[in-house]
Amino acid sequence: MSSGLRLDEDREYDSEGPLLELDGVSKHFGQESGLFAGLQFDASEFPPFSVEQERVRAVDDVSLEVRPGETLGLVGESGCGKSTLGRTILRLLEPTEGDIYFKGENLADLGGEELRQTRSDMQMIFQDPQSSLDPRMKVGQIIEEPMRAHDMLDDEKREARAKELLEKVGLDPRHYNRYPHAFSGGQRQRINLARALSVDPDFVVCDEPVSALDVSIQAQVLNTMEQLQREFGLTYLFIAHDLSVIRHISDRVAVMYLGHIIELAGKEELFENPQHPYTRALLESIPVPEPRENGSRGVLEGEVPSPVDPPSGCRFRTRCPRLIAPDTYDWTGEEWPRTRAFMRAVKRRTFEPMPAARIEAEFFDGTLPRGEAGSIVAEAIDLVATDGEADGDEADRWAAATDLLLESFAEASVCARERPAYELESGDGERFAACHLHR
Amino acid sequence: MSSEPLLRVENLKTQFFTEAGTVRAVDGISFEVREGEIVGLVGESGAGKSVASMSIMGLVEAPGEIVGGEITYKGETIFGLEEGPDGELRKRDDALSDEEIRTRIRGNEIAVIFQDPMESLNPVFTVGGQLREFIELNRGLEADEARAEAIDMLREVGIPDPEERYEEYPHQFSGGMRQRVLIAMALACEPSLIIADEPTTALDVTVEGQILELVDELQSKYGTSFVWVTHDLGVVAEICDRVNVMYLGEIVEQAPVDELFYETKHPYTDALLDSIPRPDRTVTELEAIEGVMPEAIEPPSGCRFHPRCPDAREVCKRVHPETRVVADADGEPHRAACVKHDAFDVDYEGSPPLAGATRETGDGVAEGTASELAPNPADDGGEGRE
Repeated sequence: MSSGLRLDEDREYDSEGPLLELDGVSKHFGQESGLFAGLQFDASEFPPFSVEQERVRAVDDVSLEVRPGETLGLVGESGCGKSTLGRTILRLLEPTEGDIYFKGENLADLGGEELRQTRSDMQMIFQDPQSSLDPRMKVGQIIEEPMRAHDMLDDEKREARAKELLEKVGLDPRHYNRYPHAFSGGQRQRINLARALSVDPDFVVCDEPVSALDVSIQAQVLNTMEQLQREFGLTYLFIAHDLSVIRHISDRVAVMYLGHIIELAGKEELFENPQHPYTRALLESIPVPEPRENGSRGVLEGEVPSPVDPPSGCRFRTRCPRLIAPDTYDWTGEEWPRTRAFMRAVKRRTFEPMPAARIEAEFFDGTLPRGEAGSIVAEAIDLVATDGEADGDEADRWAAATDLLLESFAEASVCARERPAYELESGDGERFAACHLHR
Repeated sequence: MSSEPLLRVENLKTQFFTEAGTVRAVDGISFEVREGEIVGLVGESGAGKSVASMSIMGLVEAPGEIVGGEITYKGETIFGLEEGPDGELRKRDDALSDEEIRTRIRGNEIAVIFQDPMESLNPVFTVGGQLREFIELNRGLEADEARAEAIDMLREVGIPDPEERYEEYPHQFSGGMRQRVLIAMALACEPSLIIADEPTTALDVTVEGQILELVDELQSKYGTSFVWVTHDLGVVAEICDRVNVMYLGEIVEQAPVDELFYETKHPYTDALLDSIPRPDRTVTELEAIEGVMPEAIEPPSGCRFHPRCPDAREVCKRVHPETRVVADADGEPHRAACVKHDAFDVDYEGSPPLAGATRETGDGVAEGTASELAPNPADDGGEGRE
């Protein structure tokens, strides 16, 4: 470890506990911010106006720990809330609810100046290396700015440190007086790294740091980031959508879906033995650079629901290929999987209207489930079939069938009634999976 | 295999005439696409893969221009140049006119799918309306027939509730659904060839999976051929039959997909495969390719990859290798542009290795040292372009 690089080695955090701890953190956004936003008009009520804000629940009740020296990968599809979570941790966004502890201190209790001081221990690297650098500042100034803001060192020492950092991130110290536009994307991301490291942080939130880079450059930057982690004793929260990158760089991985963490485990455990159907689907849908591997491509149906009105219970249940059968009915054999498939096909209207007999043949192989479940299915088929007895507008009948099926089956499942959260035993310590299959 | 390919591109050259100089974006590439085949065009940003695919469609705009080569589609020349009496280049007489290309080829015979579906759809018209208009114009159907056809196509590409969504505007569709609309539009006239320019790059991985699945299905149903432009080797492995790897305007390797991955013949392809993190296994150390792709204005002498190549020798600086057959892959030629193969008789073995040409990962040091305080280091870093 080179001596001059660590500014506050005496302040090293030696505690056994986690470096960062989130406890029930939520971040909700009001949807519109205009003067009359959220103003509702309803003539049937008195008064006919009401103010109701629709709230986007970007991050909802997230609890996790980041251990000193590790890289925690945070992965999820766009819109799942991973970037919002990253920003909320740094308190660039105020959490709506919940507590964030950094080195055992609750960040919410810190006042302006204390928070500002703590921020020198927490830094962030953004995705777009172009827009995160001020085009009118020279590279040297850019790297020195955080030190100036935190009143570290004097001018001369700041310059020396900036040059040293340039070298550490794989750039030429002689580039000190250049402007950002003279650098390529990979090099700019290195400047971002140097700037983040200038105040000697312990914790760095990396928000998709290599997503905008070409594969060959990506590998260079990832290697440098790992080297810097060893040298500076850094802890990373590494946010990315690319599972390959996450697998390469992380020690532990948290998977997010629609504002919730749905699985958290050691890297090998998570990739080799995923315990949540969403993680499994995610892993199965990555195209593998292995043409001989003609394994089945796990294709996930449908789209992510809106975070304004997320599904109850497990948020993944509306797309889950393993939605648990509601125990109010008696199921045997293939009855439930078939009913589930039919329910989703009706909901998404993926088949053309056809006679009842053909629907039965196509979805149920000619035999409807027995008992009450069967009569509900029959009723739904009657609503959508071309030879059905129900009258009314076609769209209304489909909607009625959808409501009937969802209410009778999907909403009755344990997946819809309770939010899952299970701690599991695993080879390398505890892991977490939010899925009722682990009841 | 001996039959005439659907599309044949020969020695295609596309250049951009800029103030800084002539950018040789595509510099003499040749490849063919046969019926029912998905052919990959792979490379990093700035390799010229998008320009190559746009050149096929005749969609290169000023300051760009196709300056050489010949493109044949189903035996008809859709682009060809000859030297006029004054030595200037002009279009050959047997080549199709712009008018013919517009009315007969584009859309009807060859369709394109772009990366960003939002840019290809007009935000002020409904999705269904745009699709209907496209079908009306290209297939000469009546408005209500075209409407029915459009709804059928939307259902075909897996858009739920197509009647209802027909009336919606592009912004009401998610990215994956918009890409499905574009696929519907591309398929609407049952073209024989679809050029797909990074169609899944902007999409989430589960949506990408859905789209790849859809392409698989539609391809087996309609037998459409594809030119698939991508930088993602995972996607290539998944769907392509044959692959062309591009580097700095040239095709450096051309092989069936299996041979490309397991019998790799070009050091660049090799390096690319080694540098990607894997979803299916844990790689502790990534072998990064040193340096960055140079600008196409002033490509390196000899082999264009030699400054970054771990196998580079003295001879690579001097000899510019054209793509040659270096191996046989079950009757298919496996072509590569690297002088280390015997097909190039230039005494590679006897040539001394270049300094720094070893498989060591310099961890980015190369970026710093290689530029040697050049007046503008961006010259060696073009990855932001495309």
